Amino acid sequence: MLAPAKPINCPLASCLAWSACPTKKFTNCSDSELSLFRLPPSAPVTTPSTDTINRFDLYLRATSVLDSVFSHSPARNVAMPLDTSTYSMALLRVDGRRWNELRRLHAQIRTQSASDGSSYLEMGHTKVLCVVTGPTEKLASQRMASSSSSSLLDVNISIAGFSSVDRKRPSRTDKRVSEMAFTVQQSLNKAVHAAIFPNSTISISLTVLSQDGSLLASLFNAATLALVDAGIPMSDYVTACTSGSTSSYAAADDAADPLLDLNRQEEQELPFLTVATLGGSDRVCALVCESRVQVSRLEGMLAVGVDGCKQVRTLLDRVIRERGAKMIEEGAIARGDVVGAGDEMDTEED
Amino acid sequence: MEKGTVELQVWHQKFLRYLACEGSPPAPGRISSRDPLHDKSSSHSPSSGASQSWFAIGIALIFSSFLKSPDKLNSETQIPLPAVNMPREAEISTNEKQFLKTALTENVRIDGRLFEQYRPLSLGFGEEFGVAEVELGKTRILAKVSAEVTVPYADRPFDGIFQIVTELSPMVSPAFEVNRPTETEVLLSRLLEKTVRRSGALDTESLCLMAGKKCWAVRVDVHVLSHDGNLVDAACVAVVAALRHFRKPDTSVEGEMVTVYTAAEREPTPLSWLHSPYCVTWSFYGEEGEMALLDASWKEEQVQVASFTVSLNRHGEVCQIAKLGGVAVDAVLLLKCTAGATVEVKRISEMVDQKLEEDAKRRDKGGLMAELRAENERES
Amino acid sequence: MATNQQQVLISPAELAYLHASLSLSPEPIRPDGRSSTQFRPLVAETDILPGTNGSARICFADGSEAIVGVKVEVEKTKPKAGAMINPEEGKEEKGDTGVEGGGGFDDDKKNYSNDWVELAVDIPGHRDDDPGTAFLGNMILEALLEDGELVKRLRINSRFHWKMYLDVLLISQPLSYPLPLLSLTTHLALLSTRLPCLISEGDEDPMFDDDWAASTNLYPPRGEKSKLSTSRPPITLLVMSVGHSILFDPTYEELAVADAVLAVSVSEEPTKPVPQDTIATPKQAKDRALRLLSIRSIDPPSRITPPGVPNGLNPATNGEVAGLQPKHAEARTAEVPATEGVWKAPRGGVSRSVLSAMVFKALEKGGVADEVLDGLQGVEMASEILE
Repeated sequence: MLAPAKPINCPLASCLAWSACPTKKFTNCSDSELSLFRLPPSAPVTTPSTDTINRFDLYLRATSVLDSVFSHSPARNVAMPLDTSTYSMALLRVDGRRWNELRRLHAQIRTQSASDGSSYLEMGHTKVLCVVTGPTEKLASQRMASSSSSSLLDVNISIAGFSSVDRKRPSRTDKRVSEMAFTVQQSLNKAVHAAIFPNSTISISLTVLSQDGSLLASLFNAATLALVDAGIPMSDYVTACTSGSTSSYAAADDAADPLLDLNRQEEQELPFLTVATLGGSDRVCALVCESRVQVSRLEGMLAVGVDGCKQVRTLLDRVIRERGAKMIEEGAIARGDVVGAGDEMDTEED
Repeated sequence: MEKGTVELQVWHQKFLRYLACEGSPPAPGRISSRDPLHDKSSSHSPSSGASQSWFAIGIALIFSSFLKSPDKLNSETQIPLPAVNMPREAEISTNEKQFLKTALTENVRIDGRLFEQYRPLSLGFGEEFGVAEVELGKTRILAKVSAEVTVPYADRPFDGIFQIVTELSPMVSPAFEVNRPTETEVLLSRLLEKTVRRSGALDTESLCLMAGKKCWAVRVDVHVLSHDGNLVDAACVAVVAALRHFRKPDTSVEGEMVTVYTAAEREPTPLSWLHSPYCVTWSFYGEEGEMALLDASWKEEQVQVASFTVSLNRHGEVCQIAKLGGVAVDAVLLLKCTAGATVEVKRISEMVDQKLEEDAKRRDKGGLMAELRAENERES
Repeated sequence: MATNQQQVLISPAELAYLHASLSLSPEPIRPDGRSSTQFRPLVAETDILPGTNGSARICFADGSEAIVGVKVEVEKTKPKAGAMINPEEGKEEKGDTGVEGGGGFDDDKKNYSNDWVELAVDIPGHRDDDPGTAFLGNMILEALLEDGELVKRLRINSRFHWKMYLDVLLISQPLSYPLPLLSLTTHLALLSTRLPCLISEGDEDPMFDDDWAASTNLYPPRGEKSKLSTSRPPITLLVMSVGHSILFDPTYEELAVADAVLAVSVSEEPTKPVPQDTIATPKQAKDRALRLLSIRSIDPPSRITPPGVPNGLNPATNGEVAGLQPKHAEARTAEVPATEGVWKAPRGGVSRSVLSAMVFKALEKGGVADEVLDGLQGVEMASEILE
């Protein structure tokens, strides 16, 4: 069911034998709880918005306490030396995963009764809620709202102020967020059979409750699940994950390994990219990289990322199928509909 | 259906004729359309007869705008117009789209370039330091760098401030309005930000004068003068060239005092520049995005199914990759495009270096001593 | 009102039916069969986000859903301007409290400030500076500050305090007016809020216990020893009137025919701190004293002229149509006394007796506020048992 990751361009052939551990461990085990004990002690922080040294000191102490209290992510805004030496020794990452291991992925659909489709997704400690409304008639104001006025989907991302370690006031005009919304919208637009819904709009509103890396990937996955729940015809799942490389851009060491599904701490320290593929194929919907990395490293990272997307697709598909089976059991849905749809999917997979 | 293909062939021939005359086809200009009828007429008129020329369409467009004056629409008959009051760019017509796509399947680009060929790229500098103008085909971009001494951000006391401000004014196209950032503008500014600022091309720590108290704020204003596609690549060259061309006034720090010297007192100093990243944009065409074009023009951008911008420096470091949605493209093709981009970046990089050198030579006629002597002569 | 943008899509016949059945006395008939004081069933959970100091989620039966997260940071207390002006008070920490009420505790005169609490409301599809959103946020915040108990609990010592950020997210589309949902969720989130345990003493720079298990509740649960009073966070209830019936927790349809809608904020009268040696027994509804914090009136949709009403019938334009008066002169006279079976939007004010009855009904012993507070306490206890 789960093919072990391809060892493309990866000098870790020996490590493969280890990573071919039982699939359950491979997919659903995770860093989360265990990892808390393996994390290095929290580092000092920058950024108190104050000018007095006195308060600065205090802030350091207070937040480092809070840090350990809110143990979900020790990573701060400031780069903290990530002890990659431990990786080269034990081939284990800071949270105890292997190089090609996903974090725990937990997802639910139909979390909210009022909307047409909804989902809740956790990738490690990154938690995203998605609500889909529509298709509804396009309002006159929406028609001309943007240059992509012909677009069926309307994606809205709100990042909760409490989602990161430091409380950050959400800003409407954050270009980074609107870029993410644009990316999700443009990718899903091509996956949805938009021709069926002329002159309509489907609004996808995503809420980020907690951030611990792979944010864009989680947004992709949550939006896909909610669209499936809303019954919007799509050509296939759009799934996403991140991949990185253990060497920084400066070090031209050949021994660098690709890594799958980075957490926040790794994202701050290592070059990484987010890749979204259509239906677990090798076809890439979105590819976003914001860090400096040697071009030779790209191939390995992309291969691992694409492979990660396949794993994510399997997991999401399982979530949908389990929920579907449950709904048939409960009699919420006529059996014929689902079987037909399911068969079609099966043939696609084959 | 058959009639359509015949029509198309006629069009095709017409286009080829235009190409032979070395001119770009006199397409219906991008007219601001305040009412939706424009689009209809532009897509319908060609079907009325293959003999109809492009000029006729243009006239029809202008004509229809006379017939429907906006005042008339706003009187008591409140027709629910889809376009509230937002000007937008006239869309490329269906026929023209089809033509572009068909031509591409026959390995022909409408301006006769090869798939992996840039339009001619030219770079010029202004009289002042820090002004660069880039022309890429008909796309023109002006970048201007300015610097002033301010207080650093409280959370980054050891860093100077560096920001890139993009502006797409109505001068470029009526679709752009001042103070209302469009999607194009947000994406352009994000791409420049990621390519130049986040990749650490400028050493912001060198802009710090006194920790937590005084620093330089360097600001690049990017003005798009005309938009004929591929804004990102052109803007990136303009920003990098302008920053490297820029000289900031020399300063000295004594205790709590910062002295800023004028150009007459001390020679201005260049910014501390670490590496020069450049963007290369590929556009994809075809059902599965299997055709990749370099440096798409505005018209080609309207037809693309996906685009892929990769930023590299000449050392082969990727600074940023952005394929923000669109049709799913095979991963291997993306890797090939990245490899193609490294070659292109080396070429751009050499060109910029050479131009900067030329400009420096031009300014430095006879060297520093000659300049000083000339000044003395004038004084005496 | 946040629901303004959604037009009321209810036919005149439905409106007339709703109005007639809701204004029945003695007991109105509500479309979902509830009694006039009954709340819709809700699903609630607390402590859902480990990254926050406190969090809660509530789903109403109609599918509207809200999540509230609480974050706190240590902040240095600014000396109050009042402290400088009143040197005869002696100590620097004395100053204008900025907090009303609160009974005669001796910590009453510390330099509390309402700036210690910041609240942001996020409603999908609405900008955060939208007047409706800002109004919602201010109504919730107003109750919290008016209560005064919350700010008192944020004090660490005379030099430092906790700065509290409340982020209120509405996850679903705003179906009915989301104020009660957001208020109840905020209440639960505050109840589940925990602060790191202070281990430093007096006015020295605060040091905290690293152990999250040792953290203390911002609002200590009933029966626990505490030097603070045993109050609960305030709640805001939505009350509407139709004719002489008074309804709680109105739905979207019911609001469409409301004569008046009030947001009533109530909290418990704070009691004396429990003596250190005795353990208080959980309070029952009967010995809880409620107090009124604020009343706000909200424009129901019926007060807003729906689109498509011709000017001749629109009270806002006084039945006049510019330039067309002679033609439509009879339109003005079209305003006839109420016809049987046709509901017309109410005009003018609501009688004072109805308004006061609405407030009294919210506050009365064993009334709605009591019931809701008991219900929410149940949620709190349930989550403790689960732990």
